[in-house]
Parts: sequence; structure tokens; C-alpha cells
Amino acid sequence: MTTPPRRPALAAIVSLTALATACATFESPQPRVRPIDSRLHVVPVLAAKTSVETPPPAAEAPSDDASRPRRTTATHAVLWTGVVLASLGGAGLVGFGAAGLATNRKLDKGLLEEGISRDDRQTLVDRGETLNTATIVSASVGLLGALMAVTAYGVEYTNCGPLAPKRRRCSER
Amino acid sequence: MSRLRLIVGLATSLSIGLVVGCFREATPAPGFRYECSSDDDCITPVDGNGDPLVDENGDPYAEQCIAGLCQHACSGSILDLLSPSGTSDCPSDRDGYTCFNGTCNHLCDAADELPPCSAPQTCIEFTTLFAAFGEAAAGFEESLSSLPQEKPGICGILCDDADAPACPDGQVCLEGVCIGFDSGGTTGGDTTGSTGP
Repeated sequence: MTTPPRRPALAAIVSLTALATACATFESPQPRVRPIDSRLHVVPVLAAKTSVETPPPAAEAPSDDASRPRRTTATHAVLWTGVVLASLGGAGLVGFGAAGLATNRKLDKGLLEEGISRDDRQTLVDRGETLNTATIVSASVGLLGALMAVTAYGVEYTNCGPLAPKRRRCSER
Repeated sequence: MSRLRLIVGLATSLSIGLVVGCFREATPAPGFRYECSSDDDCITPVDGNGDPLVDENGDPYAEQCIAGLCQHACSGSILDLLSPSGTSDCPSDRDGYTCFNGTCNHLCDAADELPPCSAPQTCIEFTTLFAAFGEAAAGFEESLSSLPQEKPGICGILCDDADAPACPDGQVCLEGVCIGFDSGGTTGGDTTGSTGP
């Protein structure tokens, strides 16, 4: 009876190997991997499907906006910052531009029609030049914001991000 | 895509607004004069280097507040306008100064849509001005036809107007024009150096 004494040793080796390889599966970077056969869990290498066998994960190919996860990324921050800057710049441009236009008309009226004193003219010129500066700064801020927003939107659109309406066949990507 | 259109529209609006909304100072007509309430509101004219303009005697020209406008006083006469040997006691100016009723005034075009002169001055047509002198001013008509203006005239106030300043010493107001009789119908030898813009 030489066989019975070897069986406990073999069982111990198999148990240790299973324990060691089973721990290795806990460190696997692919948690979605499903075993082909539940009985093969004792051999993780055999249990794991290859990339050819594994279908693409559903989360990376959303079928509609509702199922798409809402994620906050730097792209979103840039997009909304750009929108805010563009809005502020646009509002400033319209406001300062209108004030500059009104100042321009007042000065024109004084110089060409109604008459104006030298001091009043200088006051209007100074005001107009200040408004010009404010208008140019507003336009620059608005333009910068618009560029930021367009760029971020382009990135979202290209990457099928949640902020860009789905017009492309993102599910096939 | 609607957001993209919104952003593109916003950028377009920015560009249009920037062009339209900018302040640009208009260039007044040569006959424009600043309003004033005293001589302190007026200035001493300077040349391109910032040096004060001086007359033949080296004295700086200085504006005075006359009839509510900053103007240069002078002692010439409108009848010296076409005198070939005349000299002016008005500052040199590329748009042409002519002494009329005691002040240095610019030539103007009465056909302009906008008033070329500052109130209370008006653009007084030469044809109207010289009509009062009959044959004595007949020779001026040919000279006036060489002026570039469609209806040439001069900015000023007729001396018989209620708001008009007094004529210079030695001149009398005749048909709205200050005339001196001590030197061939005019006072002094003052006239303009050019004929307007």
C-alpha cells in the first residue's frame, strides 16, 4: 500500500497551487472577465476569455444619452468656462460698444451740428477711448471663451462625449 | 450641433460688434469753432511741434471768445479776399482763413447738407454778399467761379445781425459787411493766403 500515503501529499500540493493561483485572479486588471466554465475557476489562465472571445463592454458603447454615464472631465470644465467667458465677453462687447456708439454720436452731433466746447469734446473723447479699450478687452475675452468652448465641444464630439449630441454612430466605435 | 451654432453665432456677433461699436472721433469741418463763455475756454494755437503760432511781429496768436465761439480777431475786410498783394493777420491755415467782419473765418460751401459753420455763424454765399455792392463787386464773380465750392461762401455773422460783434475800428457796417473807407474801400491790407479746402 504505497499509494495511500501519496494521496495526502498530492492533495496538499493541488490545494496550495489552487490557493496561490486563486489569489492571483484577485489581482487581475480585468474584473469583467467571466469564466468560460465555472468549473475551471481553479485554473484562472484557462478560465479567462481572450480578447477575441470577450465581447466589447457595453459601458463603452452607449446606445443613448440615458444609458451613457454622466462624467465630469476637464473637457467639460473647459467647455463651460469657455461658454461663460464668451457670454461675458459678448455682453461686455455689446454694452461697451453701445456706450461707445452713443458717445460717438454725441460727439459727432456736437462737432457737426449743435456745437460743443473744447472741454466737453475732450471729456467725450476720453470716455470714448476708455470705452474702446473696454470693448476690445471684452471682445478678446469673448473670442478666447468661444475658442475654448468650440475646442472643448470638438473634443466631446470626437470622443462621443455626453455633452455633444449624438450624431455619429458612436456605438460602432 | 445647436450649441456649436450658438457659439459660432456668438463669435460672429463679437466680430461685428467690435467693428461697429468702436469709438471713432469725427473730423469737424474747417469752419467749426468751439463754444466758449470766456477767453479762458479758448487756446493759443500751436504748430506740429507744439510751438505757438506767431504773427509777422513774432507775437503769438491767441483765440478770443467772440459771439460765444473761440475765434481769432482781425482787422481786415472781406473785400481783400481776392487782392493779389494782400497779407493776412490771421494764422496760416491750410484750409484758408479770411478776415470777415472782425474775425478770421473759413470759406464754406452753402450747398453742404450739414451746416459747415458753427452757430451762430452761417455760411454766407458770396453771391448774396456781393450783390449788395452792385457793379463795385462785379469783378469778383469771375474769381468766385474758380473756387472749388459749389456755392462758395464764408462762415460768419452779418454785422447788422443782433448777435454780431462790433466791426473793427475804422470800419462801418454796410449791408451786413464791415467796410473800411480809409484805404480804397477796405481797411488795411489783410486778406487770406489761400482759398479754402
